[in-house]
Amino acid sequence: MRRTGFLLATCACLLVLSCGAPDVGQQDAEDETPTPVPPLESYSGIGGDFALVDQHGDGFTLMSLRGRPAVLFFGYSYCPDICPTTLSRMNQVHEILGTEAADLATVFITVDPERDTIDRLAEYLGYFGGGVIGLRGTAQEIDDVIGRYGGHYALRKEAGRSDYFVDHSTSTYLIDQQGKVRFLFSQSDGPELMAAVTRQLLSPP
Amino acid sequence: MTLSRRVLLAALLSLAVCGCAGDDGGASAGEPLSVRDAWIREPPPCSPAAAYLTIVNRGASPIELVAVETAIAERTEIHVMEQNNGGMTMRRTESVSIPGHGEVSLRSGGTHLMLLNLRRQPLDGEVVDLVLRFGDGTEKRVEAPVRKG
Repeated sequence: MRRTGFLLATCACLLVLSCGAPDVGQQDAEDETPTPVPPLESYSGIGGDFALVDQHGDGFTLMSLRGRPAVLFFGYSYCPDICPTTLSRMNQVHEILGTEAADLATVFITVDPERDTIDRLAEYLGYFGGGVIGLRGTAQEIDDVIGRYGGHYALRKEAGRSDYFVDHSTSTYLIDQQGKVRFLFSQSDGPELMAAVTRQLLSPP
Repeated sequence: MTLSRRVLLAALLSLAVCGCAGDDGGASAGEPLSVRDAWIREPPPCSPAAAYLTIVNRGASPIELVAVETAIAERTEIHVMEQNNGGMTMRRTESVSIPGHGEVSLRSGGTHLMLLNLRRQPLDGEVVDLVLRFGDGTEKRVEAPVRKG
């Protein structure tokens, strides 16, 4: 019996050793220390109204949101990682805020109008649902808007291949009911933090 | 007693095997490489798909991931993303080095795998086979579930 017990203990160790390792490093994510919500900010020199065309072919200006707050970012539909992450995250922000955010608009401005036609934008954003407003314009118009928002982009076209990627700013702008930028989210900001910051705009103290 | 010990050993060994069944790409005894947390983001229509995973190298020598293949894409690439002045710069790389006794996570916002010219759109809930090829000639087959996110 003692040998059987030893055998049992050995096998149990093997089981732990062979299966335990993949969970290493996953514990930190469960640390639930509440973090303070960063306050809204004011930014001089970035933002402002602009005129582009949406995915239905209609003209759009920021002021046409008429008192609705908005979350705005730049991207492109062939973007494999950052843009789908941001769009999915905005869906999560809407889920967290629920009816509180019924008025919150999500605005996606393409930096790749050459491939992101009106139809392509409609198809791409339709996949994500949630009523995202997709905007395009001429390259010059896009340059002007992204410049005004302090962003940048660069098409990475390569000889010998038909597809290309675009390096672009990844900030997400929270815009208040008066059209002013009130917060810059980075890619590392999760949906909970984004929802908490946005809530301050929806329910001013 | 001998017989019952054999039965116990067989039962425990099968338990050990079953206990790891969901950990596809895990290293078996003596194999230094294992892969975990593999997944593919369901791509929007006509967009490339990104794949993510963590490669663990329990061996002493570094090893290079040099290629990835999958039946659903005509081409795959390894892309490195770097933070740059409030934006992301992405560049293609030929390989990723996994240090000895170390691991490398290919993740969203960082180095990741790109599945290009998709033969079909992978859908949430399905599982896609990836074959990872390493610089020493070895390869590893990994099952990557597809999910939205």
